Amino acid sequence: MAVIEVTDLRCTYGAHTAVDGVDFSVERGEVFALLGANGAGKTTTLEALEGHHAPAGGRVRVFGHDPRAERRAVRRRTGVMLQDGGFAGELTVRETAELWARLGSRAGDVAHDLERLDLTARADVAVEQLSGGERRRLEVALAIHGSPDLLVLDEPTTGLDPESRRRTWQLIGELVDAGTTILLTTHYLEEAEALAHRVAILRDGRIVRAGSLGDVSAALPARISFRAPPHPLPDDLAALRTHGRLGELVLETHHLQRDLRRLLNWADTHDLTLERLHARGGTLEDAFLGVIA
Amino acid sequence: MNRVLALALSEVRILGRNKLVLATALLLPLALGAMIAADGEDGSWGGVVAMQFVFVMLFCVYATATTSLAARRRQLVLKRLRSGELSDPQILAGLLLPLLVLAGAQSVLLLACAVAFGAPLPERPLTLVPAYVLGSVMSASLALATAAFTASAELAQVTVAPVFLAAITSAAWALSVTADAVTTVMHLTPGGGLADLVRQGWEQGGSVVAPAAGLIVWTGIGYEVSRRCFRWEPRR
Repeated sequence: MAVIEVTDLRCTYGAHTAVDGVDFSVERGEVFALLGANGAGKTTTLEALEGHHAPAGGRVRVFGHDPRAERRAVRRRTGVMLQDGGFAGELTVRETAELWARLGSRAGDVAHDLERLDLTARADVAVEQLSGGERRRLEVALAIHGSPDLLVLDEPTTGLDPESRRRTWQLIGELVDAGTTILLTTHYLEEAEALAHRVAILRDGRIVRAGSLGDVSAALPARISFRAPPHPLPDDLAALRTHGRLGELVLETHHLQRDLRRLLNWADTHDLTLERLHARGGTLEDAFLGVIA
Repeated sequence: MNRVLALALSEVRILGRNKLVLATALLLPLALGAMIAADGEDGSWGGVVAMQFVFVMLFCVYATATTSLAARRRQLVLKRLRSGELSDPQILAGLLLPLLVLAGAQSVLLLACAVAFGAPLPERPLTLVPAYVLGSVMSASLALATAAFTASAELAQVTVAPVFLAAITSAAWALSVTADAVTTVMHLTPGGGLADLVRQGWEQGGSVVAPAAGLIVWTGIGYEVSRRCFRWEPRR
């Protein structure tokens, strides 16, 4: 049985439809990323899964339960990191984490949670004195307490410095290795590429592309880029040219190996060195930019 | 229950660190109570104590709970609490319990002060128990309803005013007549029922059913408004 099953989900805010017929499922031990521009419907989808938002239509099941009607059954197995959850600023980091541990049923070591998020040195500091990045790390610490079966992370590394982001990715990797299922939203495509087994790209409340990273980018053309040579390209390669900037040419092709060989042969024939030559397959970023445009 | 207590204890800790809220909840009703008690010798001690009781419920429970809930919603703390395992009633119980206990302690203190100022002992002390229970629950219920229309802690100073004034005015109205002359309409006002119930604990009076019914009606109104309108996070 899938950990999360979402069928034809629709969510509205008054007359505005924020989520319009979304379907996906997440299997145990899987990392599933919801991607999309601001306002695409990612957070609303998560809120429906968390039971915070009553769907206008469709069906949501988490561990086989309705997250609104059977909140307790879902929450005791789920760690949630909100995009914009708040803290009582008067409490210290340790007091906040200990309170959260007492409010839940999952057993765990608060000190260890803080240590994993590099917050031990800040444990006795009032939450209102934390930086934005430290607050995000505290959010993660609360969400992972007691090793939940499912972790819902809404933009977990927004506001984190590169080192903290890497450490958070490492932590998420450890949780996945331990069998945790993870549903996350992110603005960082490299984060989805680093963590996710499958992704879904949302636009205007609908999933416009979904699948494994390979699936999502498989249909996209590969790219060959290089500094513009002094000789004009032959017609067959020039036809692949899409755009260029700062003296760079970019060719898009669905036959990377064949067209790269042709380009290199042409360069050899004219005794040219193709400077800054790069060739790569389609990426998640290409897919994302292709569907949200 | 342990979880509700854990949340309540953290609220006590927060309350202790927020000097302004603490002063409002503790000192203001005591100061007002002392002022009223200073005039007590000229009038009915039952009326004096009843007015003190109304002030405690309004300041300590109603106004403080409205302010606290609006602030917690603005800070997105309510949203966070809802992402955990507590049910909505448990969250509200945990947040409001310290105020209800504080109101109980203040009530006892005020009653003791009144006796120290020369008031006789209450003739029906057990009547003060439902007065405290129903009065504090009504105040909490009205606070939830008012918080539904209060976007921030600062705005609470404005939004609590109508219920505040209505409760004080109606309490004074009910206390302006003798206990056996209080009408049903007086009992059905937000302060009249509470004031008369407390006075009946101090002095022999009529039935406690009518004033208790008034408190239950206002509790129901507060509950229904909050059920329909209370939001756990700021409007988008």
